[in-house]
Amino acid sequence: MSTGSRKRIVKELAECHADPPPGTKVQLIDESNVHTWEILMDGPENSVYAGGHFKLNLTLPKDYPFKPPTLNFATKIYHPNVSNDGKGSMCLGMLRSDEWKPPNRLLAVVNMARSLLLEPNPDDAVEPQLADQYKNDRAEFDKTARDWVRRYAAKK
Amino acid sequence: MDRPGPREMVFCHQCENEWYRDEHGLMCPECQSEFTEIIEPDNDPRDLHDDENNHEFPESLLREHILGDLGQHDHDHHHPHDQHPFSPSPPPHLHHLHDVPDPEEDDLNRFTIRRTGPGNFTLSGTFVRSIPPRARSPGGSAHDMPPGMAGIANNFGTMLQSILGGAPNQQRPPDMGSPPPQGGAAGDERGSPPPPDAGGGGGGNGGGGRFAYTTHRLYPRDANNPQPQMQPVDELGNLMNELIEHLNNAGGHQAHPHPHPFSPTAGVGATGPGAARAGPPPFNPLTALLSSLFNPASAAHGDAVYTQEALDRVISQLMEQNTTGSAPGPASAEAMARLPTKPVDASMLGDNGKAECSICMDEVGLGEQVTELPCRHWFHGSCIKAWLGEHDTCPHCRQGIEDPAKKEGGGAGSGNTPGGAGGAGASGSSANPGPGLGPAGFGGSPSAPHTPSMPGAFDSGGGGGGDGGNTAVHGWGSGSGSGSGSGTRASPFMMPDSPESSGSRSGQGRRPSGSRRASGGSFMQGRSNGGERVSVGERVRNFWSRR
Repeated sequence: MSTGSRKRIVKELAECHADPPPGTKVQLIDESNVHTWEILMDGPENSVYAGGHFKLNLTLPKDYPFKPPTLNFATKIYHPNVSNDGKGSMCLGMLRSDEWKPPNRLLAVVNMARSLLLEPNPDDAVEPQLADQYKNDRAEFDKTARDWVRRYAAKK
Repeated sequence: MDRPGPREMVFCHQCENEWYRDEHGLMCPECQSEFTEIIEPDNDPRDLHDDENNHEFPESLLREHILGDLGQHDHDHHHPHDQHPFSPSPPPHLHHLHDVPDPEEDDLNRFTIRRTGPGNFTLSGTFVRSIPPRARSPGGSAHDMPPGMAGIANNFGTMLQSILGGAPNQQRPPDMGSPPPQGGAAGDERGSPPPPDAGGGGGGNGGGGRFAYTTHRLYPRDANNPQPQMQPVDELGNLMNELIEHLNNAGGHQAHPHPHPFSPTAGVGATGPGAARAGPPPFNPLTALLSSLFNPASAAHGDAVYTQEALDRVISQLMEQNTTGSAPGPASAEAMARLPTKPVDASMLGDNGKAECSICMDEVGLGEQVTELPCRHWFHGSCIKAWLGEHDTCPHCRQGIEDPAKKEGGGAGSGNTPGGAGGAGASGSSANPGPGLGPAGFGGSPSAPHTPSMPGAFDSGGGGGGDGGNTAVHGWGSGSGSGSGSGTRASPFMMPDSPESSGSRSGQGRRPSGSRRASGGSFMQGRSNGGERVSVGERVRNFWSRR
């Protein structure tokens, strides 16, 4: 499947190049390695992440598409669904190994990441405290999230 | 003490004289006292003379001496003054004995501390009591009991206890009535240890004993000197276990052939090489409690757990119980081989007249052979087999590709035709409480639409044919579509092979690809796919996030 897998990945990359979500740019870190993508994503305008420029790494496993890709925020972000452990991993929904299915597309993954910036999902959070804050003290959450954007995601 | 190195200085505790050992030997040339001690860098007896507050037996000094001995390996000497721990540190109240050969010391020969490994040492000794208790001047003894055995026992007990540092202060009073039986025989490598009762010739009260004490990665605590060797001591749990075990051996079971004379302390850690455990530890609730408390493998009592590990195990177990058999493993080769192939026809193309295999995303043209699953989803044969090699569910809708009834009923209907499926259901229903109902009904109306998934199916996977039959019957009555793809096992009945009904079914079964999580699904959605190892934490998270 490796050639088939590679073929599919190239195809999906082309798809993402052709029709990326707004404010998003997808590229290979290393042209010879289609398994490691870099996603540059601007914080959506109507979100607390507006003004931020986030870098994400999308890593495709060897047996993609049979195993889910992994998505990590390289830029620190204050988000209930992004682990605040230096890895910045975002693992929910279709990215979970038990929910992933081969027909899922990477474009959908990128879109999901962006929609999570627009609207975090506190019910499936990796950072419970942040989820609590998001649900119960939204003002404080927004404030901190904006603060983090200024501190960590301001420059391109 | 034929130690290599610099000349040894000897110190007289009586007159505080100092001399070279190789010049005058061990006896003080000034006062002829035998209360002398070799000065060692880490054991300077001169310091001790500043401390006259030692009214009890100076355990700390004993520790020092033992420490000193730990560093060397020549323990085969028999001079009482430098080999047993009592001589080097005469407490003030014993000073009057300085010119009287202490019979107790002579009794206490063959006392060795043997290093059995880094951090391990074995203390073994033989004592023979040959003095009638009253024959000896009791003046110096701090213990209000007959000297001899008692004194030695007490002193040893104290000493061992102090070696252990933090060992509990629950020393059992030595049993004076009976001669101390032989302790663990290990640790004494000399060929002819005196028999336990060898000292009997000394009088009616004669008695003796031998004991071995071995630590296991245990270091003495020394409050007087800085200790360079701060290696970790044995785990508290082990120590406690041993301690209780030996308490048990010696205390609660007098019939035990080898009760230890110094059980409270000597038993601690006696698992080192060469130590002989006299027998299996008898049951003791305290022992059991402690050992289970400190044993991470079983740190659970009833509903209570004491460690994270144990908690994780309990949770895993619960999840296993709830999901038994429902985790899709790889599909069997036969099941894969049974999947029909068919050429792509016009109805399989999308709106734009194109179709692709959703696994490799290659375009598929009209007439190309593809493999179709029971749920009507089709893929390249090689693509779907790669997936089915890990999961026996449809990549799209997660419906199982195998018929549990067929799998377990054995040799039931073969094809994917409704008739075959009906037969399969009938065979599976032999275990079904109501065999006549469902399968027959389905068999009789093969064209009726019914849901591919099993609404409310909680254990649909493990149940096999009977189970599947039951659930299917239930689904029949309650209507279709509520499962929304959660039923990952195939219904025991094959789909009627009609395009229109299959279209509606797949619409129900497929989850929207952009959705993060289908809501309202059954518990089974939360299980991890077979073959994928998921950490307990992740599983727990998945588990709860889906409730």
